[in-house]
Amino acid sequence: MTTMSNLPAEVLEEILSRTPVTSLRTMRSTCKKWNNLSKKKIIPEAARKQQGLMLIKKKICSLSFSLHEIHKDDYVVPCINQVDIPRNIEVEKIFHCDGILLCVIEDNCSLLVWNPYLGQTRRIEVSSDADMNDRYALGYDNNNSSHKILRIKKDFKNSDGLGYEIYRFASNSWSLLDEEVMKPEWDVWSVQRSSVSLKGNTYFLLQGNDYDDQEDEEEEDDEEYEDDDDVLPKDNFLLCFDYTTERFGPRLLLPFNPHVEETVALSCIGEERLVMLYQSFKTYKGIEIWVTDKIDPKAVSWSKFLKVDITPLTGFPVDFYADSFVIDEEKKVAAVFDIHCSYQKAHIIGEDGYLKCVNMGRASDVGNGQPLVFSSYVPSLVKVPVKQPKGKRKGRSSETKSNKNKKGRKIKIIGG
Amino acid sequence: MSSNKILLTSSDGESFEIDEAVARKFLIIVHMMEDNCAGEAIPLENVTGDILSKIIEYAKMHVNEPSEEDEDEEAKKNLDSWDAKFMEKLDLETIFKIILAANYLNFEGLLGFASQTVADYIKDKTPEEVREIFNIENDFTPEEEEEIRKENAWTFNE
Repeated sequence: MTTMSNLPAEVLEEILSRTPVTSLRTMRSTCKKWNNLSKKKIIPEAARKQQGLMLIKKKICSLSFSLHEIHKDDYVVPCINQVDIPRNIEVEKIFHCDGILLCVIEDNCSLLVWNPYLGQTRRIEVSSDADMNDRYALGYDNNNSSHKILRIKKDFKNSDGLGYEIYRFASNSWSLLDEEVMKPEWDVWSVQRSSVSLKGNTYFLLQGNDYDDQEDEEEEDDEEYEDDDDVLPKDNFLLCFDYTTERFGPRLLLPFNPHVEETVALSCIGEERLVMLYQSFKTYKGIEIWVTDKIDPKAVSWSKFLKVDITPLTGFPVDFYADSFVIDEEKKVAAVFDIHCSYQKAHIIGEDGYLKCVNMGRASDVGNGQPLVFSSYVPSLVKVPVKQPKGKRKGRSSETKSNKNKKGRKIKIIGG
Repeated sequence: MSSNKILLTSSDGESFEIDEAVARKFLIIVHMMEDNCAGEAIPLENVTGDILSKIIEYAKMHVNEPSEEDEDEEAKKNLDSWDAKFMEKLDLETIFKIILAANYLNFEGLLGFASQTVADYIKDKTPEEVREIFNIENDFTPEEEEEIRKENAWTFNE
């Protein structure tokens, strides 16, 4: 009698990989074999959808956005849902890399590293001078094949007021980075969304803080702008932190030159490319979206994805300020969110200009607050690095949880 | 297209004569044909006659698989409709056997389609229902089951 349990593993995988993401939980709850198999591959549907993550009232929320059907009348309204984080803790900030989330929790004193797709978590304590202005980023060291966390904090002993620390999963420890090596010239109090981890490294969007220079050049900028080729973006650039060398790279130029008040947003598409939105309102009122052709810590090249006029004549609301966005490359459209509207509406733009406005839904358990940080998230099978045991216990079975050790450092290993 | 006929023999002795073009859908046969002398029947030890006949029926319909660039919407719709009817008539047991056979024969098109059909059975079912359909034993303790539920509470809901 042929039953599912008699099917060879590769055939079973073939079948299970075709279940929709919504049935993932059912599939995993069926039996241990299915649970294990489901973690060997990302369900194609999960990989295909565009996920965005954001924080609303200290809870992680996800927005699954597909612009594929945007032209159709029966387009399904995207809905913001709460993502249930292990043990329902409050999250102050989120960052991510390679499908792993780095959450700052418990009043900024701890970090939770979490791969939702695999259900693995790990907790890391931050050193005692944790502060709500600390910035973090997650990346990967290719030479040592391990993840690292970068922490940027206030440190008035240093000339630029900033200190840098690295947590290396390979050694389970924090260490300070040499100040001389750093000095990326930036303002650490810039907005949360200004960094994206891509291919194991983190790209920071830096907006100039040379306010004195800016005033003098106000006049000149308008003239310079007409001649795009000559314009050197002095105040806005990307800077990449390379976790393998533990250094910041050179300034990476943006394909546009925003004035200080103009809006710029950084995101990523898929796992290999950055995408940026630029809303100009000084010289002309429009939105430009650019995608990288090539990017690495030392160089970048861009190509234009979309450029749209957004005066109120075209259908845009007056006083529209772009905050976050999502693009669909195939359909050549983008959905743009307004900073003032708390994600209640998405404005859809395409090559033909303004297309429509879509009302967003919110699941009932999602708070009413203003979403922070919208960033594109791609699930992965990358395992959360486990704490290397210091002595006795070697392997661990997939379902056991380990105890707190005496110093209060909680070590939770779930999943295998 | 060649009008060569290939002879296939199932594990229980049934013989099937099919066009070479159809036989080429089964990659395992392509290899066997290269090794085999022309004219001899190809034995398929792992497939019974009833299943093989179904598979051949499907292969014949798909021998002229429309390419991706093909604009013939009508033809695609007809084929999809035929495919749906083909599966509807089969019980789960038979579909499993077809999957195993398609896997053995290395017939990707049918393997994918049949796998999708089975995957669709799981949609919208509870774990209990799924276990019943597929005759699977629940090897989780109640605590483990609860843990799995919690771990996967994040699954991006529609």
